[in-house]
Amino acid sequence: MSQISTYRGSMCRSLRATAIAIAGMAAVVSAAFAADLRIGIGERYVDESGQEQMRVMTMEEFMAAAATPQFFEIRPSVRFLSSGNNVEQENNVAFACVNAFTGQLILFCDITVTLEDVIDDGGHHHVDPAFPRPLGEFDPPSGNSGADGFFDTTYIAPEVSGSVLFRVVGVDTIGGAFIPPIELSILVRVPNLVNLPPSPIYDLIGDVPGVHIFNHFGTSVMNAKVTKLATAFTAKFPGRKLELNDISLPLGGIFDVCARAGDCASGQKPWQFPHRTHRFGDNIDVRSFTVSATEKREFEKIATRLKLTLKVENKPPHFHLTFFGTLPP
Amino acid sequence: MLDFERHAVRKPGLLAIMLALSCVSATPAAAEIIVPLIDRSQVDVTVSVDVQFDALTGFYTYSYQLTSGLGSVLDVESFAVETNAEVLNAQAPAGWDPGPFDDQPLFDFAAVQVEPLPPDYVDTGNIPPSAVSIKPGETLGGFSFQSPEGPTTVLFYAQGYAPVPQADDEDDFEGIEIPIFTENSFIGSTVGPGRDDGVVFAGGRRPSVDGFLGFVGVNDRDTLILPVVISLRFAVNGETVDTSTFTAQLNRVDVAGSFQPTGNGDERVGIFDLAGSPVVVGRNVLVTSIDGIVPGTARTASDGDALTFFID
Repeated sequence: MSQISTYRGSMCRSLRATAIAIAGMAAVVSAAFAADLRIGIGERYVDESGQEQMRVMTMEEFMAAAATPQFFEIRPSVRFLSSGNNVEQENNVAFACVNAFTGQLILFCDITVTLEDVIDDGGHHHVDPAFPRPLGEFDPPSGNSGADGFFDTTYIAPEVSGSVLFRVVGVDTIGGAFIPPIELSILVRVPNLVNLPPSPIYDLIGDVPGVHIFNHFGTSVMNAKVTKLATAFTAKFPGRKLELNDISLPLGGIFDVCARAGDCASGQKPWQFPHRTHRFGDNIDVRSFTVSATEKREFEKIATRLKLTLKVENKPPHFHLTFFGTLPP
Repeated sequence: MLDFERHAVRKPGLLAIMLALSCVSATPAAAEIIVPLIDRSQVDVTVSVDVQFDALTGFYTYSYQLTSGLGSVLDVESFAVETNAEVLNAQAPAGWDPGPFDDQPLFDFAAVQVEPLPPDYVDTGNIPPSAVSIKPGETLGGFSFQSPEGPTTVLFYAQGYAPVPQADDEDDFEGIEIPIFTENSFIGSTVGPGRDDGVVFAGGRRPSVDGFLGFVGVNDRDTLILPVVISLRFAVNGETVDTSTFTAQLNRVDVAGSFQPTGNGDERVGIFDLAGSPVVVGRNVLVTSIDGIVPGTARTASDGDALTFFID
């Protein structure tokens, strides 16, 4: 996959373009031969002269790619943040039907891509058929590979992290053959989040069985800051411990704290706000109603010296700390 | 012993930041902000500093006294000196806590004592005021620390008390970013540790006598910030000099008396500000001379040096 290049003229901002080719038989394929159809992968690249080229991956290359936990990885998108950190995460993908034996493209092939949820993934253990998990989308989800043999589409990541299955099928419109589907996985996540481990110097709170049981995943820097905060607080007030609530879910992305009906008086639904900043591993809530005035004062001093900015939120009463220096993807 | 006063020279652009953020935050629904973001640089602080060298320990002691001017809107509750130097043996007035910042070159003194709370105090969940903060018109000393590094010009940050931003829930803060300490403080310059003793400008024109006097931590034609801290060292290479012959003129004005011994050998430090000294914005020339014995001879000679520096 190392030769994959950004697809010229696409909307992709950061990720390499990936191309998948569905291998089929030669121009005219009968139903009798359909069982022999196989799947292969191709990729776009820029040659030494700077020209974009398309290469069909070998069967061995495809098998290696398909054997990985995810065919590609992408960060969750960020939308509706007026702070200017909105980013649509996209990955350009090109699909094609090819002859598995000759490598020739099968032109004018109808290709369709569909998405499927992976239940209980991304740290979201809640399931509500009325509110399916956002999977992102391929735009467009289907099309014809046309005269050049390629159907170009773009995967747009959702704000919610987790694995997404995608299935691609094709129909050779000239030969009439049905090209059997391939199924691959996309991993949507904020990379490199680490679980803040239990410790005698703080209490971890806020996990909700059946909904989000891992709610303390942060960046390594944030986790180190939080540990220093709790250590300094306990050193100043022996016997007292900070109660640490949500940081982020294991894969980051939207932390839909109102995942179950009735969880929030404001009526938010699963996969929505609030908790909008708890998606990158650099924000944490700390219970405050058990903290005395003297302790609050000390808490602010310690947080300030750790370069953590502090806000107070009332529902329920807690401190909200942000590590300055970690920007969203 | 050195003693000098310094007013702040600039403030951060927090107002501009807040205005920019207010423009950005125009899109969401009306937020239920209970306590808005308050500019905590709304203090007017003067810092007096005393620097002494302890020959036994090899440490300089930096002692600070803060005065909150009548123009201060908020009570001063935090004071930090910007330095990368090693800092130890910090002392603070009662109710104040000294300590370093994490991963930032700041050494901070923060008012942490809240008792007694104001009689009308109600716990709203926010950070309470300190009972020992410096009110407008008040002066408080007792801030000090030691360092092996000599004095140079450093920035200081002073912050007033204000409750932190508070709202019902996180969505109410959409579009509001809380500035870090250095972006929400009154900023000035003072004297602190950090002089680069590896830099000695000795003139370079008469090698036999250049070591009679050297400028420490500064190069010729450097651009410096106010207050200008000039450290002199006599007998840089162990020469024999007659300190009674020392002369110094800054922009043709006699400033020899401004160079005070720190106690570190023959080291002397002069601090020059726009008020009370001949230093000017732009080009400055400090001309010094001192007599000594030319090494290997019995002959007396004079080492005359000229240090040019600039103030933006």
